[in-house]
Amino acid sequence: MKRYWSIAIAAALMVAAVIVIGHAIGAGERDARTPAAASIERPLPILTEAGVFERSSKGASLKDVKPGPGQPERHLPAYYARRSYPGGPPAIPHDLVDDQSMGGKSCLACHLDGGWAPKFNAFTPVTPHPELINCRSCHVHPENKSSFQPTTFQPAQTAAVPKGAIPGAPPAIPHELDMRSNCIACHGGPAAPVEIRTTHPERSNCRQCHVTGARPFAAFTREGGQ
Amino acid sequence: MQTGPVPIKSYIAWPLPGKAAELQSQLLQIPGCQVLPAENRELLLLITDTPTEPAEKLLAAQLEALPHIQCLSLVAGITEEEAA
Amino acid sequence: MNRREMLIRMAGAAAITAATELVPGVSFAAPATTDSINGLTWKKAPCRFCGTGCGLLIGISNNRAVAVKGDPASAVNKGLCCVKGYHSVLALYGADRLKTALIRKNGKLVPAPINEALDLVASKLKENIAQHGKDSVAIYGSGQWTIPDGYCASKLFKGAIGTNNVEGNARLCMASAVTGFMTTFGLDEPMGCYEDIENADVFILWGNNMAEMHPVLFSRMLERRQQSPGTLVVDLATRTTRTSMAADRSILFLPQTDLAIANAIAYELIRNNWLHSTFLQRHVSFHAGKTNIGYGLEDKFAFTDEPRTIDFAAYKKALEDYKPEKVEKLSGVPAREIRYLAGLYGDPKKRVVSFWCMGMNQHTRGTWIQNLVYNIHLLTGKIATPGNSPFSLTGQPSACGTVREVGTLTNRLPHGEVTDPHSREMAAKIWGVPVSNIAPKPTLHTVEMFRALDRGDLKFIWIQVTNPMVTMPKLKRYRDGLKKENRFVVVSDVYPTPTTDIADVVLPSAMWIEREGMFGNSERRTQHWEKMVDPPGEAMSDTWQLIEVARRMGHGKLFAYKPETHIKEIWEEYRQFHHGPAHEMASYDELRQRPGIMWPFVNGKETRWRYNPKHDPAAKPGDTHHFYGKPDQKAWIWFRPYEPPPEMPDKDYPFWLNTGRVVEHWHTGSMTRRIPVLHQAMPNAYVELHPNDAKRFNIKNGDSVRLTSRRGTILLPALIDRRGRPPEGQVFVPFFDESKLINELTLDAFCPISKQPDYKKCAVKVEKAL
Repeated sequence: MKRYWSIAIAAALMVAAVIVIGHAIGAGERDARTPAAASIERPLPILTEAGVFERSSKGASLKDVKPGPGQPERHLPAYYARRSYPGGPPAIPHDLVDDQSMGGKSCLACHLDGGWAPKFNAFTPVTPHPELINCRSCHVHPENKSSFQPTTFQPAQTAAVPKGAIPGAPPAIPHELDMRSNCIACHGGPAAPVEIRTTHPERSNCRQCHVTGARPFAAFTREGGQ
Repeated sequence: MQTGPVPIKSYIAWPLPGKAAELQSQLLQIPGCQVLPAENRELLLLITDTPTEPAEKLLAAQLEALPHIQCLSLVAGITEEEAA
Repeated sequence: MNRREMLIRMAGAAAITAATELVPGVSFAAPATTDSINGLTWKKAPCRFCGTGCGLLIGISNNRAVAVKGDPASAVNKGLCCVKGYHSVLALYGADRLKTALIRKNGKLVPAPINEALDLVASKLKENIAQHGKDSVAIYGSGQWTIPDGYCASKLFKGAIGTNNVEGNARLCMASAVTGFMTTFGLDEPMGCYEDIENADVFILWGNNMAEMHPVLFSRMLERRQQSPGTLVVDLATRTTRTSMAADRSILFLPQTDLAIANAIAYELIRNNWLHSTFLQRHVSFHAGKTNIGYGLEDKFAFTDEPRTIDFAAYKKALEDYKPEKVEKLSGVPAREIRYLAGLYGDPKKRVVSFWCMGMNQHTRGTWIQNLVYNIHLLTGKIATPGNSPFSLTGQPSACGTVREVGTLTNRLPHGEVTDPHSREMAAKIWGVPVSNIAPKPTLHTVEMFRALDRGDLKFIWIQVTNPMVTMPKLKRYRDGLKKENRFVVVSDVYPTPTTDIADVVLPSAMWIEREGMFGNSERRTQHWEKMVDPPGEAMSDTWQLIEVARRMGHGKLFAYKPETHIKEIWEEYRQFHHGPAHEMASYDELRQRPGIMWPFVNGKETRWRYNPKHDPAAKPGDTHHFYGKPDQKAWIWFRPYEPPPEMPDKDYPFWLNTGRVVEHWHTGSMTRRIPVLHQAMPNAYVELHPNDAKRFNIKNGDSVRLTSRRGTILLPALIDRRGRPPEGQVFVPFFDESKLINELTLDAFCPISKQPDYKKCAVKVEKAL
């Protein structure tokens, strides 16, 4: 089945061509109206696309930011330990600056742009969704390590970084993009875990080379071809 | 050319403006058709599954005759052999 | 799944991907299965927790739920969840899940085969009905019941057995919202929808800590403010919370004085002539009811309102008592703030949404305060158009869908009231029972149901999906009552709770995505989910437990549903109750396909604004509005006065006690406390004090504090200036913690119209415990 998946993009592009041609023909004969402009009242944001360029202007400034001597770096195990499952919202690992304030006035003071935080001896991770300011509706602060009842929950497997299709090819994105479409927030700069830190944060259009992972996909077949 | 079982095919169907709901209900009345409507645009995905070549031909004729369709684009056709 | 089905899925996935590439932003109703990156299958479900009804995608792998994300295709949450939603699947996997039935033998609950337990439940029901009559048995559920659960409960008890002893936790949660809607509009549930948020200029939150209780809607509101500068959020509350921090203005009032404030706003609207006079002339009539209506503190308390029609002049005159300066003295809210609020409501250029939830519902004048807030929207004509919306939020996932729409309250049927002969005939016909089976009078509302158990009038109760031994006010009386000899208590639940502790039979339930079901959320949206994973052990859905017991009682003919298709059969049977443009529901097949559908759903179209002829198929065209719920085809403005609560702070008990919730825990915490990250973030209940009060008692953060009311006493750690801050002379305690039961202290006074208790106001004393 593998070969069918691997030509997903080719198939989509071909279909696009078919549609453009097909539609042009249809438009000549019938109502010349673009099918996408259906009767929606306001444009919906493209959720998994919205964040791609969100912080791209910061990318260049991250290029030469390297941890200095004595500045510890983050690694993936610590990154995953904050989450109940990959993709889950991380818990807050430090005391709160102000227990009562909204995120816009406290959390974002550090987590909007990141940087070295001497108090925590760490680089500050950057939020991929700074537009959401009720931070603590998703991110909670564990008071202790106690347990009410043990759990038998087993989280989803962590994403494995796939190899490129051929040596040197850019790897595909191995995780979902919901709430995480802003690549640079997690993959750029010294706060990014070493294992997933990009070597080239200055190239802002990440998804021109990195496609979303290998979705199950059917083969492209040419109808009526030999 | 296909010689084995009839392939399962999927299409993108563009309805005439304002006719998505009608098109959907007409498609659903044709045996072997499954429909997945888009929620925020006027387009439908159509998946067809027919048992025999004559049934496939009949289906093609029925699709051809639908009044509310603007354009029907084939995306994929898969047979069991190919997918194995 | 066979090979052919897999090919169909592959072909479908190909089409989705191609369409997504071609038409950016296009979204499809999540197909039943969408394969994804890490070998997960994502399936759609509404969230298990609150009444917002967020769409979730549940990641399933090897018959286990392993991940969650917000469903971008859901019109409710558009891909965002709160911390409970993101961790909801962990609630399935607490190590102490109930996997077998338990039967009390020689005083101890011991495991038993589920068939033996179901036999026992059926025989005890029959035995009590034979010996003490049909009104000696009762069922008590909640807004966590799926629609099929509640429907089967109602059909079994009201249709087959013939008792109106059917109630739910919703009586403690939103009964006042129902009576508010019924008295003002004649029909239950909001006229607007969440899309009002994107259309409003001003949000006024009436005693509603949305940042913690409805966080996803709160985020939607903040997003609106971000995108549309000048949008205002006003927090009108009795306590400073996270919501106050995000609001543009925070106004604190003394408990119970919301009644006076609402009247003062109406007074100001009239005084300044900020009225929508054509709207008032065409669509509004004026009414008044009884006053000094009592508090329901005594057993068998009864109340019937006597509405009378008045005219605008009489209404205006009655409001003379509510001049802002006078209300300032009562409420502590400066007159200029009241005028500010009236100015916001009265500005014809501003679209206003009022949000509320438990602050207005759990209120000994709960029905009245709903009427009074509707009055403000009716005086200004700001109702049932995009962005103009008095909006009652709900706390449980299907409080609307199951309790209100299916009618699992003593006075309700799936369509209409039990007192209405037409509604009884309809129920008898659809259920296939003689109409004489359906009792024409309401029996016991929740508080009275538990009082009847204590007194011994009621002998048998079956409690499903709720935890009254944590939630009942004045808890000790009702716990002692249930423990008495000759009371038979059956509890269906997923975990051990203080309620299963006192049960005679415990039935293990399949929860949420372990079975198929539907919930209905706050905005009239019905959402279906399929069974995704197997339930543990012998756990069985509440629907199927009811069917099994019905069959054992000889009512098999009424419950002849097939195991594979019973949810579909039940839904299509139930849907008949709502035929017609005012409440038409979507078909089972449509519900399966889409992330949720709002009723009335007519000709494939959802209704976003009821009573608005542009949107509502039941509204007569030709005018801006048509309020078709009342016989006079109008919305009713009620004059309702301020009346004090039954218990207020005094010399012996000088503090107000307010109870409520926190963002981490849902209801009694029986699910969320078994989610490690949520438990660790909020491990126990606490008492919140004003820093000056704390100083006065020499209480520091974490110190043990003794709270005592006339009904009980408990110890709690103090929390000062952390989650929230009550004003001086008030304390706040969350109710989720089964080991620190604040309801030992609360009072079982209720709104005489809705019968909903007031958990927000009673008097306590505060001592530092040594």
